[in-house]
Amino acid sequence: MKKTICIIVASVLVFGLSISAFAETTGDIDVTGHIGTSGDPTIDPDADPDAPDSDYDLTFSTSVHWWVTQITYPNIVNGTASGPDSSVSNKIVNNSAADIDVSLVSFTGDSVAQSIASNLTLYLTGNLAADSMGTTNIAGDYTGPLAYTAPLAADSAWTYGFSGQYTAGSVNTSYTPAYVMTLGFEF
Amino acid sequence: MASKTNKLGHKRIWIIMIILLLLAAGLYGLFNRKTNDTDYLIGAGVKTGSLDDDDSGNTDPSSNGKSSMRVKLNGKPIFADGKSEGSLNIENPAENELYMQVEIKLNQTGDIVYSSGAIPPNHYIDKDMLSKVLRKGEYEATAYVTLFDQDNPDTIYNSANFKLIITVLN
Repeated sequence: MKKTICIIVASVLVFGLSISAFAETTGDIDVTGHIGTSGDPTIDPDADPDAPDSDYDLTFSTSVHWWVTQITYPNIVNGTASGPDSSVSNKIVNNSAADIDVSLVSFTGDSVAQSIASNLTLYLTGNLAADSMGTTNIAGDYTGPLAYTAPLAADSAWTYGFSGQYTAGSVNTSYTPAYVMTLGFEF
Repeated sequence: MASKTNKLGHKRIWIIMIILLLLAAGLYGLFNRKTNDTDYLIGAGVKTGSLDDDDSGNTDPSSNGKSSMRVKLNGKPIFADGKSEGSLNIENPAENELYMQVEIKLNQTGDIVYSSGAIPPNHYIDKDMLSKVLRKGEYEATAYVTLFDQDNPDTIYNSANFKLIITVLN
């Protein structure tokens, strides 16, 4: 009889724990909190916490859109090439209520795209970021300066661009390197 | 006779246990089912629509398909305490075509304190709890926003990092 009671109690416990665990993992317990201070009656305890002008609202390009096709055939071998300059425009729109700083966190060759080892000089251009990015390798990561640029004003757009030229390397076919980048935003 | 009654009692107990287990399994399935037919798990806090009642006047006209992405989130989320929901205000507006995902890490420790799951266009998360209980204070953190195309998951898109100040009041 004791054994039976033990089994029933254990089963109920397991069942109960299971239910509470499932409820916790789904976050299904609807909890609403109110913030107020007893010492300051002017604060509405039923109002949600508010932080004015703290919402980011940004639109940015999802890719560098720079698929460089080599038109000098057959080879560029270890020398300065008269390969094509190529540039693209990208855009960031700041619809936030406050100015934000924009930084370039990373600039990386897209390993999925066809990329043949070659050097490419890249320059970040634009009315707010005219600093040279330095040199990067087609298949490598950008290692140049990543300083913050001038603030991007609220309710304004910033068009920036990349331009570049083949400078050295060994290439025997057309290729279309692509880059992905990470932008950093900060109030 | 006593032995027969005892056997019957055991049988009933087993039946009750099986019913309880089946119930538990059913509930598990109910709470853990995927909310769509894709491979991406949409977060529990994701809601359909926009955070703004009327967002039509604030739409970027240059947005076009998958070539650009509009992202909205609160740079200074506030939590009543470490176990409360906070004002994250993350939104993937309807004008976008890509899905987005947000992961928040504390700058000092690198701890992941929030992961949104997939957020389809025209969906938002207004409030949610952090996955880690934080004590009272202000925390510098970074929201890592990644984009993906559910039809072409191998395509890599630019990403964005947003500096956050997380405030836990109590």
